[in-house]
Amino acid sequence: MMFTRRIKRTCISLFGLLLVPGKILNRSLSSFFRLLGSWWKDRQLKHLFWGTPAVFVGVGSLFMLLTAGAQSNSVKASSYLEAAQKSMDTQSFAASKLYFERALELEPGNHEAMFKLAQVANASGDEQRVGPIMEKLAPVDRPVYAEAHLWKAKWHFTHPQTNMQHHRDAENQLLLVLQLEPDNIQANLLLGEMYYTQGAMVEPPIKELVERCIKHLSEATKNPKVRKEYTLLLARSYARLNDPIKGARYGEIALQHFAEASRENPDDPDALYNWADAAMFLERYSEATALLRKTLQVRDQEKTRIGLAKVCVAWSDTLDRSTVAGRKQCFQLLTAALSAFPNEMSIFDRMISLLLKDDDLTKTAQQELLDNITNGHAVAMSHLILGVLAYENKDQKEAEFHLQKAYEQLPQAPVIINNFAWYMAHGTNPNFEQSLKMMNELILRYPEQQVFRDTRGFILLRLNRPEEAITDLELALQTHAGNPDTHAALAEAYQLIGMSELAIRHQQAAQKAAADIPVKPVGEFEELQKSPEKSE
Amino acid sequence: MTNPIPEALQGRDAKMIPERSPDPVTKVDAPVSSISWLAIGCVALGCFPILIAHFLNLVAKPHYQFAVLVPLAVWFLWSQSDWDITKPFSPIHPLPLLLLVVFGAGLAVSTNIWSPWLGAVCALFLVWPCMWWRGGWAAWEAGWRGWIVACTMLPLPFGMDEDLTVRLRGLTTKLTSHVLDVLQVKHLSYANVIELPGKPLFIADACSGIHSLYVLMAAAVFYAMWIQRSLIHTIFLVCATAGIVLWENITRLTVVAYTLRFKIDLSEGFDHTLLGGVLFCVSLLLMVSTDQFLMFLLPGEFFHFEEKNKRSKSRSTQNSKVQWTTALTLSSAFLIVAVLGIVRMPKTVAAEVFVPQLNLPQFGSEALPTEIGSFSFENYQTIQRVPGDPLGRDSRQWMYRYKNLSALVSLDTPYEGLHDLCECYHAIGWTIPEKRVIPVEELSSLSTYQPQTFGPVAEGHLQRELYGNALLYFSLAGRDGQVGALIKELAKGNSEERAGDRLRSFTNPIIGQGPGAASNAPYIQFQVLARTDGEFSEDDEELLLEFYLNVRDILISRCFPAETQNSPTAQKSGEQP
Repeated sequence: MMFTRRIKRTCISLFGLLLVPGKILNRSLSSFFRLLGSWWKDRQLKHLFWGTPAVFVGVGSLFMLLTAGAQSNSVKASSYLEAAQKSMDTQSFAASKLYFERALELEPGNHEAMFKLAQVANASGDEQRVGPIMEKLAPVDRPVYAEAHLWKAKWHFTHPQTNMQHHRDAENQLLLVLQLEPDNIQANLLLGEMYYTQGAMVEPPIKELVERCIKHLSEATKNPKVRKEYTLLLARSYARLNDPIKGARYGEIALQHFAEASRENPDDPDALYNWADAAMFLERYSEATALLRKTLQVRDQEKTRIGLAKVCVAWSDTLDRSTVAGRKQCFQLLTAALSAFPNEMSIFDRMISLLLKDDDLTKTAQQELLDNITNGHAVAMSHLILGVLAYENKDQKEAEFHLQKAYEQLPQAPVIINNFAWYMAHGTNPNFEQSLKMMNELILRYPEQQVFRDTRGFILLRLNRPEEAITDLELALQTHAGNPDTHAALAEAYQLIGMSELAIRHQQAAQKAAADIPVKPVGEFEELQKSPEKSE
Repeated sequence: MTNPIPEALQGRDAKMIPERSPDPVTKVDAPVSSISWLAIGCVALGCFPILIAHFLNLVAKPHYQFAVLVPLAVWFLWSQSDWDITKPFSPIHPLPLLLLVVFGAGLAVSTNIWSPWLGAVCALFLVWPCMWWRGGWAAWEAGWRGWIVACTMLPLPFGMDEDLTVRLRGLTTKLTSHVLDVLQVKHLSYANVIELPGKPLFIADACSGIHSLYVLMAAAVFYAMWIQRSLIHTIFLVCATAGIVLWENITRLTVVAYTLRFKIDLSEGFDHTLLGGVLFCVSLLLMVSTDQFLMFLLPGEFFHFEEKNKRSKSRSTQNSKVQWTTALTLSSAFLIVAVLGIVRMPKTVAAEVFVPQLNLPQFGSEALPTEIGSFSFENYQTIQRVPGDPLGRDSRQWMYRYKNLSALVSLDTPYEGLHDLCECYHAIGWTIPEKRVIPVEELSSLSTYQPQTFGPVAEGHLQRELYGNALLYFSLAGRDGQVGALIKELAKGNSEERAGDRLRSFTNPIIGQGPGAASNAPYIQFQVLARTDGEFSEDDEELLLEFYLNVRDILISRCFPAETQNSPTAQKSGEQP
């Protein structure tokens, strides 16, 4: 009985416990409704009326902030990019910079915005910002943004004090571009041109670089948008790679293209010039000279005159100089070249080698050179040739006169300085200090032209400074291996410092070279042709 | 017998007006009343010196200048309460006595160590015993509203008001930027700057809302107390007022930015002041409107529970002349505190408030030579900002260049004290991994520099993504030509030291507030910000430091021609505080 009661009591208690949440809810609700009722009873609409402005402002502000929050960052960023581009187009760089920065704030990883910001910063004189942005977009160790890598490569190429390191950095940047965009035309073209300069324009050509050049130019020229003139570069590369068939094929394509372009724009001197260039590559010298003369009629440009002079020189190189007729034709061509562009230095060594023989042609040439001087045409070059000829003919007085006059006419021309300095060191009244000073200045201007070190080496030897002379002469020997004079000078220098074994070896090399190579030209203009300041 | 409540005030509104005290049962004697005033006078005298200092410190800051109105507001509220000393009470009741002793001791300590803020806190609590002497519980019940309003004269401690300013500035900038985006106003926002094409809007203290915030909050408290709102209503109203202040400042900036589209410049001058004034009035009206809305939301008794006068009836004792004499004796101890206050009061308290105007000569591009060392002059410009801008209200800037180094020379004025420029650059997005103050001894050892002006130089190595590296040199010269440099982080030390410093700031107040601290305000800042497209080499740093020192010498000689002519080497090294 007791047990039953306990169970009954426990059940009631448990039931009571189960009802507790319901009771709490009931009380809460009733309190809430009582409160609500009380509020409803006590509320006064006049308070709501006077409170309306605050409610209005509060709701309005909330709505404004919610609207702002609902706008996606990418939508906002694109509107800023659009505005920035418009400002950039209208040269409003300050506004454009500000919009790009905001776009970047909204989309921090937007590489395009970053790149354009750098461009705008550069244009607005805030150059210091370009470096850090480009460091981020175009690092040296990994590809990030192709356009930035390309920009940086171009920056390296156009750096005012560009050197080999700049070229290596540019190459690295262009290769990074190709990692991101293997078909990038500009990167392929720039790499092709760079490898052409480094591999095909040196003697002997560096096969690996020429092959790389062909690879990139072939890739670029696949694209129909690429201008066909690059096929001429490709043709030249094949020619340097001893593949004349492909060279001729691509040369022909280039020639056809330029001819067509010239026909479309008959008054365009550039089209004519390019046509002539292709014709010259294909050794159609007659056609090339005719085209260049036509170009000169359209517009008399220095570039065209230089081209004509070069075609004449190249044509003259193909002629047989062992016959009198050949030498005559050669002389006529060189005279034509001299007439087209008197300062073209590549004419000089051809003319000297042609006129060293004492025959009628030499006399005729001398007369023509004197006529040039009289008529005020190609005065410096004529004096130089006459001076060197006089020096070779042991006429010191006349040599000094002509070389002095050549130097007065063109005091900045490297070939004139080189020859005049040489004469001053080797003439009747040698002035070693002055000639050394001139050569030092010249080498400062052209530090990579080892040929000038040869002249300075001789001068230093005359000044009894054999150690310095050896440094210069050995550098000169790197590009002029087998020059008997250089070997002889080195033999003398080593003898002076007591290294007789090396002296004997150089003496033997000099004798061997003299036997192998009959005459070396006095000028070293092949190298000068490659120099960017060759036309000076 | 009770005063009848007018019919018009019966009902809900009648509850908002305190019930008048019943008619006096026993009147307080006139001598007793005089004794109470005497006791209050003693306490007031004790508080007076340090309160003066506190008050001058307050009015020196623009955002606390409303403090001049607070005593009037308190007096107004107390005069409205109009209570009589009708009920008998003990003048040395334990509770007011405890307050008198504890805060009296606190006042003495704060006067001795000269901490105006702590003194003001003690003075505020000493108001309670004083109120007690004017009517016991009845006086407390009638006077607490005025006391709450008086509390608005107390700034936030531990430099929290400065922190609040910084946070408000950031919040205002961020929210304004959102609003401008909605309105399609193209802009850039960073730190405390909203930059529009060709027009950077620096959000200085004045624009950050700190001024309006304190003023409007004080107004909200006064308004709520005046119309006898409940505490909970007052709290809601004050919170809503903070929102209104934010709205006001966002609106101000948005209007300025938006109207610039139409070539109307409201960012400076009279128009800016007028706009601020109009918006302040609108904010006041909004605050009143918010109060009405709160009245609609919280109308019932539930939220108006404070209108009860239980204590006044429950405790009453007989006044006694002996007890009054005791109270007077105790309060007379405050006269000693008053004397102590006069002794400890710094002589420069007033000088800090009334900072003289800075009359610099007219500078132009020719103020600096075209060649300074290797650097060549490029251009010159002047910048005017709003008063209180951390980058200075007025700046004269000369741009120099050497190879790939650009150096921006800037003369910024005026500053109230030594100023850490690194903080400004940090606020606009630069990170400063390395900073230091170069002492005078190190500067003297520079090989090619012949010092004319002695003073340390602060150096900061700055970095910012997409901006690269920058090198910052700066120092400030006071009114007397004394040069100093400050890097707060170094002066403060690590976080533990900083926490300690905040506590010690009670005993070792901030610059210019301690005894004997002479103020040289206004200060002139000389800075050079150099930038390069790569890294700075050691040679670059040395070159720039020498350039900075030369520039500073020239500018100081132009700013203080008399001082440099009379005693060119008399300026001693300003120490980093």
